[in-house]
Amino acid sequence: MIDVKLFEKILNDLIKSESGIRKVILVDRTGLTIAHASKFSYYPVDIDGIGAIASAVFVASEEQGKNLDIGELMLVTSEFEQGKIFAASCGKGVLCVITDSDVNIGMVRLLMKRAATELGKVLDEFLAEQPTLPAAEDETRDKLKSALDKLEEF
Amino acid sequence: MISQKWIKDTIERLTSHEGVKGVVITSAEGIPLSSTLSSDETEKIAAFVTSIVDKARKIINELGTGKLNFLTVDASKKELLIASEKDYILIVLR
Amino acid sequence: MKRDRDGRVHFKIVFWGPSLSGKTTTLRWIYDNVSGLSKGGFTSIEDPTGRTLYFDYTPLSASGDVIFDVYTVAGQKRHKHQRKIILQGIDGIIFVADSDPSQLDANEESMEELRELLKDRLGTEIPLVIMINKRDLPNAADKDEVLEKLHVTSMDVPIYETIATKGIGVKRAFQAIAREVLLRRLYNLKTTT
Ligand SMILES: Nc1nc2c(ncn2[C@@H]2O[C@H](COP(=O)(O)OP(=O)(O)OP(=O)(O)O)[C@@H](O)[C@H]2O)c(=O)[nH]1
Ligand SMILES: [Mg+2]
Repeated sequence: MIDVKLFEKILNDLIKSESGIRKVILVDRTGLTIAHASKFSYYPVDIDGIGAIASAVFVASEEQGKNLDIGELMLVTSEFEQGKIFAASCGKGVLCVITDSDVNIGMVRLLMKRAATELGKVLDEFLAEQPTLPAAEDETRDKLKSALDKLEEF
Repeated sequence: MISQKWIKDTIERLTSHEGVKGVVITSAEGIPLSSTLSSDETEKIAAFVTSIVDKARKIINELGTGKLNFLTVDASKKELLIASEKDYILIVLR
Repeated sequence: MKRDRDGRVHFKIVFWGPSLSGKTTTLRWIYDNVSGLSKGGFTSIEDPTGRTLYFDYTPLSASGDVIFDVYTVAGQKRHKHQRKIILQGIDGIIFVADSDPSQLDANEESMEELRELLKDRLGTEIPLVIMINKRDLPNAADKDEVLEKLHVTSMDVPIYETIATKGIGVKRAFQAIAREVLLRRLYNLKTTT
C-alpha cells in the first residue's frame, strides 16, 4: 500500500526548494484533488474547487493540442498580475504550482519536471492498486452502507 | 536591447575565446534564451544561476553596495563567469 | 469510484442535458436548500449571461466519508469538447430534459451524444436517472412525449418530473442517482468476494 503521506512529502519538498512557490496541488485527470501543500497554512482557499479547475483547464489544453495536431502537452503557464500558475502532466495526474509573479521560472520548470517524474510513478501505482484491496473492501462496504442510510435522511 | 543578432554575435564572440566550454544566455526569470549546451544542461544552469543571481542581488541590496555587475563561481572542474544585466544573465563556462 | 488521501470514497455524478434545460438551476437549488448534506464550495465557469461555459462543480456529502463530486456540463452545442472532458471518470448521470415543446429535438440530440460517448455503459455500468424539468410551463409537452424522444422506454430508468426553479422533485432525483451509484458499487463489491 502506498502511503499517501509520500505525496505530501514530495509536494512539501517542492515548495521548500524555491522561495516563490506558494502552493502545490496534485490532481487526477477527472478533477479529483489527490494531495496539496501550501507555504502558508492559513492561506484560505477552496482547494477541491481549485483542483477541479486545474484539472479541467489542463485537460482542455491537451484536447486543444490534439485538435491542432501539435503533439503532447508539456506545460501550461498562466500569468496574472500578482502570481503565476504552472501545470504539468505527471503520469495519470496533473501537477499544479502557484507562485509569486517574480518567481524564477526556469527553476520552477526544472523542479516541476523532476517532481513530476517522481510523482507520476507513485501516482500511477496509487491509482492502479485502489480497487483490489480485500481489507479496504470491507471498510468501503461499511462506508457505502452508512452513506446509503444517511441518504434517506436529508 | 536583446535581439537575435546580438545574441548570435555575443555567443560567437565568447566561444571563440580559448578555454570557453559553453555559453548560456537566460532571461532574468531563468528562461534560457540561447545556449551552446544541451537543452537539459542549459535548463539546469539557467535555473540555478538565476537563483544565485537573485540571492546575490538581495545581499548587495542589503549591504548597500550598489548594483550587481558580475559573479564568479570557481569550482575544481569548471569556472562560471556570470554577468548580470537588467533583462538577462550571461553565463560563460570555463 | 476513487479513494482520496484521507481514505474517503469519491463518486463523480454529472448533470447532462441540452442548454437551458435547468442543470445549473437544479444543482444550485440542491446546494442552497438541502439540509443534511455537508458541502464544499460551489465552483462555476459560466459566461456573463449565466450560461455554463465549462462546468459547475460542488462536492456534496451525506455521511462524511463518502463524497459525491457533482458536476453540470455546458449544454450549448459548441461546448462538446468540454462535455467530453467532464465525463472522464464518471460514476452516474442525471439527464435533465426540457419540457418546452420546442426543445424536444434538443433533448434527443443531447441524449444521442451521451450515448455515443458512453456506449452501452450508459444505464448499466453507469446508472442513469432522468429529470423531466420545467413541468410548470403552461404549454409543457406531455411526459410520454418527452420520454419517447429520449429512447429510454426499453431501459429501466428512474424518472422524475421536476420544477427546478421551485426545487420540486429535485431532491428526490438526486437521492435516486446517489442511491443507484452506491448500490451499483456495493453490488460489485459483493460479486468480487
Ligand atoms: N419555468 C421554469 N424555468 C426553469 C426551470 N428550471 C430552470 N428554469 C430556467 O431555465 C433557464 C436556464 O436554466 P439553467 O439552469 O441555467 O440551464 P442549464 O441547463 O444550466 O443551461 P446551460 O448552462 O446552457 O447548459 C433559467 O432562466 C432558469 O430559471 C423550471 O423548472 N421551470
Ligand atoms: Mg448551466
